[in-house]
Amino acid sequence: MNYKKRRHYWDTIWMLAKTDLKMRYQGSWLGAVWVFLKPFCLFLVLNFVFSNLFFKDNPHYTIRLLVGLILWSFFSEATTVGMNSLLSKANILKKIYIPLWLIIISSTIHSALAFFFNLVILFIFLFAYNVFPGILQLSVFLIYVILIYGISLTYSFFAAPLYVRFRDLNQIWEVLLGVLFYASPIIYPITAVPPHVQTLLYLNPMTLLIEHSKVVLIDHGFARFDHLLIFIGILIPVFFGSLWFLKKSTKNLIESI
Amino acid sequence: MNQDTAILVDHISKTFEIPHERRNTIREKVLEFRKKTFFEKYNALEDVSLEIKKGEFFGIIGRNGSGKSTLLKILAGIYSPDSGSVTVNGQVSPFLELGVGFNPELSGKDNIFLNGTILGLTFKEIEKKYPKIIEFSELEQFIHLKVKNYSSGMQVRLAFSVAIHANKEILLMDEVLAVGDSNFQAKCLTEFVNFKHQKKTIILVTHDLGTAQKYCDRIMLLRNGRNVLISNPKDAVSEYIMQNMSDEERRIYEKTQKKSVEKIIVDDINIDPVFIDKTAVVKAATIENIEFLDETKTEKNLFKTGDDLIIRIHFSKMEGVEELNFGVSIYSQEDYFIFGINTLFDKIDTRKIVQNGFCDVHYKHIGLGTNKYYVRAGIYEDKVEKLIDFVDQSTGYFQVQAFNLNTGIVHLDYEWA
Repeated sequence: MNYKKRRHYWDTIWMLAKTDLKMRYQGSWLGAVWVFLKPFCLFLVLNFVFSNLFFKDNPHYTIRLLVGLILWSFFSEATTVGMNSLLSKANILKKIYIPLWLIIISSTIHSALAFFFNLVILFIFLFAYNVFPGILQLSVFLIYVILIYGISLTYSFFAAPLYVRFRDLNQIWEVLLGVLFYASPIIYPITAVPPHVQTLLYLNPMTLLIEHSKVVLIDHGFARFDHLLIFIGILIPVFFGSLWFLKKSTKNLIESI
Repeated sequence: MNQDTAILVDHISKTFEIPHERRNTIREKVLEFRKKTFFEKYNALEDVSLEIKKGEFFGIIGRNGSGKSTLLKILAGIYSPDSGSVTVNGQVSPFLELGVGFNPELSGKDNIFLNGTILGLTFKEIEKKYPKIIEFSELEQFIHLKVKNYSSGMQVRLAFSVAIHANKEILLMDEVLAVGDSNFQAKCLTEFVNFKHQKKTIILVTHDLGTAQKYCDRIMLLRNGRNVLISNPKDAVSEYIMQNMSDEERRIYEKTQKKSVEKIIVDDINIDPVFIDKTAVVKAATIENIEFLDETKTEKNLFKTGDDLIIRIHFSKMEGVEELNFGVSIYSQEDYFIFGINTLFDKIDTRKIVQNGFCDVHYKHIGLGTNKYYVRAGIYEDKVEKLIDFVDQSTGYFQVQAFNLNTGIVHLDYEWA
């Protein structure tokens, strides 16, 4: 791939993402503030309920909840938008050839940006609670963030072409997201469940990433690297598998949109 | 592939499966799995091959649904063919539609960038071309306005302006000229000439045969997804017109067939007295039908300027009627009265004709231009005022095609000096 082509790909992703952004907050009074407001309101409610009712003795429950919620909203938004991306860009796809992965990635850019805005809030909280991590911990955290984006894209590459043909997928995914939310250690610490259930929870890819992020950011410890390596070892081939799947299903896909 | 080939299409076919009732959800698929899904197979393209040279202006013509757009979409890489292969040598800018991705909520400027990117330009390139794009579109003072507030003409101008500045080596254009006023079309055509000078490869799908003939080096004629011929513009356009006309002829024929069937049915249930035309009983003669024939007396509906035309009036008459007068007038489809004659003024002895049951008028070397014409015919007694029976355009049309680009409904013999 030559330089110009690569340049054009990035420009396309950015242009489509920018348009999405402008459209999303078009005519809304609070505009981009909603990026903070939505997860933050959920956070306030959950914090009020759980920190007072169940986890009174848990140190830093509030900040743990916030880490979990921000990572989760990144994942759930990116996957949902990524899955819908091909259908929502039908007007373009039907008229011109654009690689599908460009469309899918560009639609997830918004979620990534929203995540980085939310991260600012998280950092303010980390300061306020006096648990701000060091550079090393932050870099490890960055790896987790990249991995979350990785699984979101992997899911989107599989789901976007499938969704064109089976329109129930968005309903199914909505339900599944609800299940996964409770199967991830967001509102509760993983230690709150019995060990054999913990093993089960680790089948959910978000469990490992959220739990490890909490350890790194708040406890300033380093979670088990062997787990992380296994995780990466599984994700990379699956990621390329999803790219292959996307390429395979491109044939005759546009006609069904 | 040869170095100077821009596009090579090798025996491609494309079939669309159109389900009668679309089943997209799993519930439908599970609950109705026993019901067979009936697909309507639609062969959009069948075994089409072509080779387009670099720098060639290539036209594709054909009726609606003949597969033109499908072929273009395959060339653009939007659809993939079921079989066969397409090789493209060079970068393609497809203009299947002007303003792809245009967002009405964004300003003209933003849309230039959006559309430009989608058409294959990088930001840098767009920035460089931006002043030229605006200049060409003549929209300087509106460029920061939202596109939804543009008139449709302004939108088209903006879109076209981006499109021509996004051009690559190979341009695919689908009916871009169908929109816009005559000024805009003239502008488009000027750009086409520029493209031609720049030795760009252009593939144009169009219904405008004049444009096609004027600009294209070669034209492909598609019919029902099949390649009928690839030839020089003149032959392809002629063939296309002939096909259209014979289609029209068939349509008229089928219509008249249907009509005669209906007539029979009415005759069968002739119980209702309302159906009986009382005047018919006392008519001395009735025009049954009018046929258009060529000089060999075979029925035809299309003629070339300069052909012979015979109009045959079939009529029935009452016993004992010896003498009738016939009048025939030709009208253009716009209802212009072109030419009228009758046997009375021409002092024709019609006694023999009356016995024949039909009356022929032989027009030699018809001097009519490209148009549709219909005939009004009447049967009179000894004076023109006393009309016995009369028919007009319900008898059908005949068409004339001039094989040059002359305009007007008559053809006069002429010579330049």
